[in-house]
Amino acid sequence: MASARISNETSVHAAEALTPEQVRMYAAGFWIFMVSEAIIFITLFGVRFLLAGTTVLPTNRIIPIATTVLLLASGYTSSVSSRAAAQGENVRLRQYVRLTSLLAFLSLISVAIGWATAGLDPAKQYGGIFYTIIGYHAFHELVGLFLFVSLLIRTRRIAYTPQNHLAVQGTVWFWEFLIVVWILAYIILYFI
Amino acid sequence: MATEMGAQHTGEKEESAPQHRPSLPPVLRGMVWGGIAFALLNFFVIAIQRPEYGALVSEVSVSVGMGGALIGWLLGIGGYETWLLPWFGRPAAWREPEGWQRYFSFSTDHKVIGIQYLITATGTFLVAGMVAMAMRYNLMTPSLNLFPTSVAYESAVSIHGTLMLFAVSVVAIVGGFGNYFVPLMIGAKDMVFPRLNGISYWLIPFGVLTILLSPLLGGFVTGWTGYEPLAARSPSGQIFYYIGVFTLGLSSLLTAVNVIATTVFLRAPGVTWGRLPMFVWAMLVTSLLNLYWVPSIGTTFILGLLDRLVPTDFFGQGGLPLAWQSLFWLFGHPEVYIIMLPAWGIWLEVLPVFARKTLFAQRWALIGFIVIMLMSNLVWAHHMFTDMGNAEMIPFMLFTELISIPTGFMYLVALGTMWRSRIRLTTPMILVLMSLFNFLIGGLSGVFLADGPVNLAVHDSYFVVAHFHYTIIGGMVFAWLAGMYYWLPKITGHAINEVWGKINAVAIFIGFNATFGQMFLAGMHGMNRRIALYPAYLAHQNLWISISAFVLGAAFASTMVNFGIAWVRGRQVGANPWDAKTLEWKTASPPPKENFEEIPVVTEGFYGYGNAGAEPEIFVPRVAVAADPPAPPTGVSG
Ligand code: HEM
Ligand SMILES: [Cu+2]
Repeated sequence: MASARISNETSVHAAEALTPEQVRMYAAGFWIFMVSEAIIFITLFGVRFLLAGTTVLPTNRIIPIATTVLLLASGYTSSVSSRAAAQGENVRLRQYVRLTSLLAFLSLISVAIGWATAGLDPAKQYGGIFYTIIGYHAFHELVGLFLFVSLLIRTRRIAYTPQNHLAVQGTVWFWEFLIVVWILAYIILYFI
Repeated sequence: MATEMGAQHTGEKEESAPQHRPSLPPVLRGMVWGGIAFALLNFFVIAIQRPEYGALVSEVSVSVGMGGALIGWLLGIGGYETWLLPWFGRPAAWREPEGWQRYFSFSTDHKVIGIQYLITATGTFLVAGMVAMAMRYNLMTPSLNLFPTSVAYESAVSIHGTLMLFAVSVVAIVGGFGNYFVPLMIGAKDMVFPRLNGISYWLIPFGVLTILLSPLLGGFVTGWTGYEPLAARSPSGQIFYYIGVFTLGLSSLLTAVNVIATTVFLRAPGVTWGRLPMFVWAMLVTSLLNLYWVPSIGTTFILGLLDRLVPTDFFGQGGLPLAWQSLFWLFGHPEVYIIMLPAWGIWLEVLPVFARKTLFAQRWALIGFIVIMLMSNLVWAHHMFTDMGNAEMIPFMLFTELISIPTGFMYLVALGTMWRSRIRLTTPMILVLMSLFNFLIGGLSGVFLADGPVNLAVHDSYFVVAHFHYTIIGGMVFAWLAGMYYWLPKITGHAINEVWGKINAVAIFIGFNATFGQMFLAGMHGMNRRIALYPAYLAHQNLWISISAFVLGAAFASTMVNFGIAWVRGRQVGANPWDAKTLEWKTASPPPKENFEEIPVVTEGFYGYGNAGAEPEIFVPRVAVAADPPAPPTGVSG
């Protein structure tokens, strides 16, 4: 059990104490960085319309639905984990981070299947941008998954406090950003 | 497993952590780890691909390998202890070496990082400069003179341009002076994200080496612009162009995040937005441009790489070659302002100090910065006039010519500051004056180029080469040198020999103008850019350009020697040798760790010199600040 593990751990320490001013500063820095992440996808979406217009070719349409559902579910669990951290409930935090990692992993699997069964030609415009956008997104998801897993490992040693759970917030924000991007990509690639 | 973790986790690198002393020096360990990662991934991909003829590398395997090499290198240099371990909840077990060794390892000290950037940019400048010397040697005669093939010459041009643009001109001032002086000038102890800063520096050597290694795969012939469909036919070295520039861009991006956050959050009490030093403003605006254009070009470069590897067909036969050009220049034109804005920042710092007069119309310089930042997004297609109909040219012609108006503000501010002042002609001041002169020629030639009919005649000729060298060397490099003369005493605590400084400055000025002034003429006589062979009637002119270029090269080398001598055994200087007012001069030379004995409190603007009194504040300051007594006019004679 997660709770047992945590209480046995003699070396759990509260996360570094931050002033509210510092919290604001680091959070703002994070969002400044996220502007650049957004630009990446804006560029890719722009290239999609530039090169392939609004063409949509028939591909596997079942799998992306599964991906979307999994991602939305993981978005919910991740936001629960963030709230748990905000209340200093590290046990619940661990549970939900674990759940989120699992959902994230499953969504990546579904992306991989969708990728493998899309049956498009990457040397054509729509196919090329299709694989590129999904691939870029999958790479970011992989990073997100890494962040969640490392967060899980970190919570064995660090107890997040209501004052400082920025590491959790940052990870969750990143993930939720990716979910929004996925929904946009889903619409842009499959419907427009 | 976690039993040894008795020490508390404070996120600080001092004391508590068990100190892993890496068994190898960090740079060496980075190379070893990077090399191993490269080899493993490369051969893994080769094992899957099984290329014909038993080749040991393919473009795919090298690209994947380079990705691994980058991660191995960053971990080896110190990322393992400072990023990976803390990421998994262990304390950051990194003890920064002392003395000279800290410049060769991961550091979180913005001053160490600033020096790392400066030295790397200088080294890259010298290497890419040597390449330019080789190019000029080749061009002394109309036939191949040094390089065995045209492709070899074109690769040299490409390496020269790519390094100078992406690893020198956008790195030297931004990474070097920006890291070193932004925290000092706003009265902060360090950047907001010191660890990010440390990792961001170590991307630069990797990017530079990647580009330098491109000849191993045959070089690349596209120049710094990577135009398609030429890139598709370029030798395999092209992938090093994509990967190298991508890495360098990543570094710019991380620096931008840091600079923006630092400027917003770490200003000392009283450093209001209205009082922010102009160099910091310039860095902030530059960082905004970096923040939104670098990710865009990085993505474009990945698309270009995929075109070679998968292959997709974004920019080839079935795609749109012109999409590459638009995407490139959408970033590329803002890039030239990313180069020039920090240089203007240096102008505006140096001018009032040596004119001993209050910076004139400071707010107009700031308005100029911001208008330029916005307008630079609207002019990209002036690089593509040969690809469009006449009517399409007009908006881009208009915007490009309009952008010279806010650019002109810099001149008005500079002239107003110098107007009826008694200028102290020190080396930094002389270099700024030279930069003003050169950039005037560079900027005005840009207005000519922006004119459709003229552009169609001189596009892709040496006229363009002269234009951008006047702006980049004449404007930015001269300002960079001015910054070196101005700030090196602060960085090293040693004065630079003024006599040699002036001799070198004049030599560079003459060598520079002789070289690139002639290029305007050569361009109009029909000399095409990026070619190894040219018609015989241009031989005489090219010979003289080459001779001038060698003079210029020697003058640069001599300047570097002067810097080196000053660094090692220049006369000791005090905290404020130039009698300047910005905060970096309020602390010792070199500044102590964490910069200030105590965080300064600022009560007046930084540019109030002479008897004129301070310029009015740009914005109405906050109430708390307004309560401070008004600044008495300082009595410095001027
Ligand atoms: C801020 C300083 C500037 C820098 C660093 C700069 C740099 C450059 C560079 C590097 C190129 C060549 C690109 C290539 O490789 O093809 C270029 C071309 C050009 N620049 Fe500038 N430039 C500056 C200012 C200006 C200004 C003020 C104008 C006009 C008002 C201007 C107009 C042009 C035009 C029209 C071209 C295209 C020429 C052609 O390829 O036919 N530039 N500039
Ligand atoms: Cu331009």
